[in-house]
Amino acid sequence: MKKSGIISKAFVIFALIYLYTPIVVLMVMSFNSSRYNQMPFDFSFKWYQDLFQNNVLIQAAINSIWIAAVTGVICVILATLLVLGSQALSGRLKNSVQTFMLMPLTIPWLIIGLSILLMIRALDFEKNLFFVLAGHTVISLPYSVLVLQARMQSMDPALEEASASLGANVMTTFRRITLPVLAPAMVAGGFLSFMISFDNFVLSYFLMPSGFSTLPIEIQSSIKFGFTPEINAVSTIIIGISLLCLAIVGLIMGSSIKSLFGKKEV
Amino acid sequence: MATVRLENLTKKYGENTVLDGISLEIPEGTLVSLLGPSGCGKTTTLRLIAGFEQADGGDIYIDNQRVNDIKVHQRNIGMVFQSYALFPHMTVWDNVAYGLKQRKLSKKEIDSRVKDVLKLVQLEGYEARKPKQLSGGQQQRVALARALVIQPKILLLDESLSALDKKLRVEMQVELRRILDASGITALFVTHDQEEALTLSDYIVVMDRGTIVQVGKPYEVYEAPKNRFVASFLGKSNFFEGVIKEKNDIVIILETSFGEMPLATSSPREVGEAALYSIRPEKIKLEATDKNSAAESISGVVKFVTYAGNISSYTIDCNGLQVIAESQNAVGEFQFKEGDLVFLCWEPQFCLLMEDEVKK
Repeated sequence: MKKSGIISKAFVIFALIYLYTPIVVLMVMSFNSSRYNQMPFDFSFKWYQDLFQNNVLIQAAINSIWIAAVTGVICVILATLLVLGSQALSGRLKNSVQTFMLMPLTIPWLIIGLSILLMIRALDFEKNLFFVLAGHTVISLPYSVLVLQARMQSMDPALEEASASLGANVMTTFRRITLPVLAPAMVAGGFLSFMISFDNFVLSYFLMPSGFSTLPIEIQSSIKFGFTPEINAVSTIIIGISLLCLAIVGLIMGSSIKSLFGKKEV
Repeated sequence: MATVRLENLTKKYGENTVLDGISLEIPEGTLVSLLGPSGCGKTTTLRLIAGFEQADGGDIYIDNQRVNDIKVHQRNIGMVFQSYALFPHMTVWDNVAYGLKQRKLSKKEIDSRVKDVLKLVQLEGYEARKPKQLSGGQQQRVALARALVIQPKILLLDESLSALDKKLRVEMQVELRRILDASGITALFVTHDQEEALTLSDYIVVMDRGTIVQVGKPYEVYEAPKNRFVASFLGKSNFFEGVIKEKNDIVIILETSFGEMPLATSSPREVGEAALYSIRPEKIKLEATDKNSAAESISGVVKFVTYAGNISSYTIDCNGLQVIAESQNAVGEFQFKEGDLVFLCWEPQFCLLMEDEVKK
């Protein structure tokens, strides 16, 4: 047992190093005053100061945030309706609906982006923000659906029956029981969809109207036209925000999962 | 309090008939248990009465009012679920008050009724807890309080004790009986646990494959099972099957595939008819010599002795037929050991004719 314990621990540590070394390097370098990420390391907030004076990057970040926020809200609403609706279906139909809801996960973003672009051209529309949001919703929706579906499946169907037997009609049961029980999953699903949208480069690149930019697009073009460690700084901030979102999701889902199944204290 | 009457109730899932026209009357203020193996239709019966499912045929009456078409939330029925189904996002108080709030009662009325029912189930002081902060037994009592506080016409309990461990389950059985007696409510209890059915209920309804096999008070169903199914599902039984060869008032000679067996019983069946008899293991008294005066008893050789604390169980080989006899360990030592020759004696009234059809 001892020996295999050491080996499995070593394996885990190796995997963690493999996954996170590049990110750690990036984060460390954002605090290095050297323009070309050179050693020796000289700690400074220089690139963060520059970043906050870079209006292009800040505007792009603001665009990314609101696009992701709107996408997240749309995804949660759609996913909730889809999951609740598919619950009412039975057997085969339910399965196929669920498959279709998750299908966008298996289609490369490149192809989704290209096909939306082709559709816009074919219908003779101009590129506009509506299509950006629509595209982001298509790719982010499955994540909300997955989270909500998992919650719906783990929800005791007897909860709704109990509510009905106590005299609550369908609307009251939905409002007072179903929705509150699903709420943590709605928040978690929303955050996930937010992250997917915030992070997305491919679809934005295809669909963005000219003169409008998001953070991933700005980062990509700045690499093309001369890299500055400001990008390290902004990336570090994004990672920080991501981790915060993840922690919030974990906290919400964790405690709610426990409250659902309740570790039975004897 | 109310009476419940089921008339020819039928339920099908596709081709599968889960309830095959059952009729039953549950008197006011009694605790009736539906007992049977899984798939016998007992839970379906409960769910039909609650209104979670629609019957494919037959009628449900509560207090002589047909309720088939009344929606669940208007039936005024209390239900305690197997999983308890406590609302995880609400406190104990809010869980219990939920049904009263639906009835739009005044805050004062709600407060006093919730307080009373929590006192009844002995959960005062737990009002602000969430369900996950309670033990299994406490959760069960919250579920019971939540169902009772709306003063339902009837209370339905679906395997409500089966999630608890044995010691707690026995405690809760006593507790449940006390609470139900105090509230005087008509209650219908689904269980697959025969001990629970025997100790808790006023009446037991034994079900098998969508039909009611036998209805009666616990001791009636146990002491006088109608057929092989009831005799073997509720407790243990020994069976003797064969053709009656000779008979008098207290003994018959049964021709079985294990040879001729003298059975002390008075049977309405005539000589030459096939019949199935059963006897409970604890009714058999083992003797070293034949004590039956009227005729000889069945004899056999002790094959196994199983010690179970309060009783000992003897497996006796009677010419190839395995018979089980149980005796109280009152004297603190084994009466017989493996290999002993024993005679099986009993009072004639304990050897019962079963209603099953028996082929000659």
